[in-house]
Amino acid sequence: MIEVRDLRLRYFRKPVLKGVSFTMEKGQITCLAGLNGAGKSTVLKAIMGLVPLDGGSIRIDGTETALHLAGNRRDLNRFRVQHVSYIPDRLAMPPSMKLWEALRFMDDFYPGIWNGGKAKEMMTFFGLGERERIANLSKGNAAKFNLVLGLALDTPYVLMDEPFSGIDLFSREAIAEVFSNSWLEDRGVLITTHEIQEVEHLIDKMVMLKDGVVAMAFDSEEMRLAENKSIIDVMREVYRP
Amino acid sequence: MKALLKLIHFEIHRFRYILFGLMGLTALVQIGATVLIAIGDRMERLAEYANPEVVPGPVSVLEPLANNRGLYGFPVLICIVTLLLYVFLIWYREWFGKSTLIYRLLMLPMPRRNVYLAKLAALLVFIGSLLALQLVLLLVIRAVFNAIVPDEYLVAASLADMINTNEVFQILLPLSLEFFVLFYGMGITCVLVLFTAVLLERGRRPRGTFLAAAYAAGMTVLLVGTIVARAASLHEWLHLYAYEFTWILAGIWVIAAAFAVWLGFRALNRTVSV
Repeated sequence: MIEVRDLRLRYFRKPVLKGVSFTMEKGQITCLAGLNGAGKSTVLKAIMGLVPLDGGSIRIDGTETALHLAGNRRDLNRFRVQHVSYIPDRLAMPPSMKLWEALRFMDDFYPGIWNGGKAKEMMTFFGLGERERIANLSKGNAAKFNLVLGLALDTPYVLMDEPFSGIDLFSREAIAEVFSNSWLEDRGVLITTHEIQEVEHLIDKMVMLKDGVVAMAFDSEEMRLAENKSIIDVMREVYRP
Repeated sequence: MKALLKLIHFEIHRFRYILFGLMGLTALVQIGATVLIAIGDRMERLAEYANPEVVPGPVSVLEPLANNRGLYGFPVLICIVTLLLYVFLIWYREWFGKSTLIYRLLMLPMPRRNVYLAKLAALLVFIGSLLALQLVLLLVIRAVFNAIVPDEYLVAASLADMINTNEVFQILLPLSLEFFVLFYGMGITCVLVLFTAVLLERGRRPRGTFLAAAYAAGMTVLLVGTIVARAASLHEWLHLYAYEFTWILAGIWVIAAAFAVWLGFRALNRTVSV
């Protein structure tokens, strides 16, 4: 389980996170929702130690990993990467690389975590050619390749930041298919997205950020059964002025 | 260790075209200049030889080096400026541009200090490669010059003489170990300070920017202060022997380098932000 407790962060004196707390579990898809600038991406980055926090705690399977509390631990990066794969909203590889070079990079630098077989399977699924250069990929193909790099890491948790952002309908459909196949089986997924309708039926848990705090967190199935409301219905109630 | 070596290889690989370009430019300018000057000398000698009233003087490779300091120093200057810019670019390129590799570098399953060490090692390899090339080029220049100018007018010149004729080479390739350690020790310390300033600046804004500016200003005052103090012979005022004062100043530089590394590692581990 990943436990996020009381995350606090200021940016240019403006509080972005004012005490965000939630949990995500293995085998579940948790969606972190919020309007633009709500701090969704910041929360994911904080879990990966990519932004310093003013306060709060992040525990991954019981181990503290928040930078301000555990930043001196030599094995912190290894521990974090062995447990969590983060797929940012952009492709974090040099544009001059060819796809096969990027795959080899992952194989070289993530020994024991990188699953080459799975990567190959996903490359075929998405129809990506290994000889292409990253700089020449379309936005949709870059998003797909980004998923390959993230999901082929054998980690119990996956964080995805806006995987559907700015890509065409068919690429969105292909990416949405990933959620219902074995590549995400038994893994805990935390996703931020504005295209809720693409994954609404797959979401187990919703965490809604508003004004720097969790305005509402609920089990989507329970919400459907108890109040007969879809996720989008609840979002309208929380976010519509 | 294996992971660090892979990361160093990755960094060198990314700079290879610029490095080869700099090497090519240096070789082309220095050898080209030597060929042209040597041919001019040869023609001059032959013309003088045809005139029985003029006795052609002897010549060595030191003459073109001494008379064309700017020409031989120009590619070296280009290399130094490029490497200086790359001290910043080696970090900033990870944050800006189409792909932000800093996400990947900070998420590699190894201590983050390896990213710092790999970039530093890569820069040292670039400097070392260019220095080695310059040494080889001096030998090539001598061989080319000697091959073109008629033997009867040639005066032999040692590599040390060649280095001593040009101030750029004197600084670049110090002949004494003491000066080598001094120049390159100071250079590496400056690189470490700049690395740390960049990493502090890459922390959360605006605090990171203020911290970086304060650190850079403090280090500039301290390090430039030591040079000024040495030049002003401050040891006399402090009633110290010159060698004692030099050791104290060297100690300050060593402490500044160690502090820069410690602070840089800390910034990477705790305050750097994507």
